[in-house]
Amino acid sequence: MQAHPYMTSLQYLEIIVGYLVCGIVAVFGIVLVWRVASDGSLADLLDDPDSGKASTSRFQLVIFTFVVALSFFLVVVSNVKLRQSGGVVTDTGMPDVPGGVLALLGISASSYLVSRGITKSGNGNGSTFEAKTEVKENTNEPPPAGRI
Amino acid sequence: MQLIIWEVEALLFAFAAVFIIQLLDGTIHTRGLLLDKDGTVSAVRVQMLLATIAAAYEYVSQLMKNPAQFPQMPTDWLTLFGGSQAIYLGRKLYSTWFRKKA
Repeated sequence: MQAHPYMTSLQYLEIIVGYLVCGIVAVFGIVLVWRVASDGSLADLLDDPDSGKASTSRFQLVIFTFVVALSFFLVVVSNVKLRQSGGVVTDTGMPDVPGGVLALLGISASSYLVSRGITKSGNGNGSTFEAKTEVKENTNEPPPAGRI
Repeated sequence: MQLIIWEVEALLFAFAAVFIIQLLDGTIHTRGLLLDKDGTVSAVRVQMLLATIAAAYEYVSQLMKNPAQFPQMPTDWLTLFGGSQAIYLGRKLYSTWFRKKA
């Protein structure tokens, strides 16, 4: 029994599209890694915009986001390898994320959010007020001679 | 399929390498990560950092036992992690609001 000619064409098309997707992902990834590595855009990844120093709540959010994202990739790859080796895979689609992991991420993200809220509300009554007072005091000074 | 897996693995390793190198050489600022407003080491921040590392380690070690599915995070660990965050936020709330008004 011979294979259907259209089937072979579709298989070729599938392989070509697969390599095309690989190429696009590779180019996109290399450019992204190169730019992140060269322009220092991760410099303020952990910085608290208000205080200017590194934020612990932001740090733990970054850690958990990385860990859960990498574990998601690991679970997907493990399922693919299991399927290729003929092993038993319980779920056929995307892996289910259990409630415990969602709770972990939720605690982490809400902690960061509350921390930012506290800082913002504190600045609204504290340092921002002082900063505004300072600006007002500065406006009482006569303007520079060259700008009249 | 194997090619895309290798590719994504390589990209993830590259990202991780960039992150770790920039963390170590100071490009990513970590100044004041464990310090209080007055410049002293904050015990609350240290305990939160330790709880974060411990919870992340527990999660990864559970995952490594069976990488084919997400680990079930034990309730005890969630309680520990949540408690640590609550202590941090409580301290922050106190130092931001109550101590300032006092």
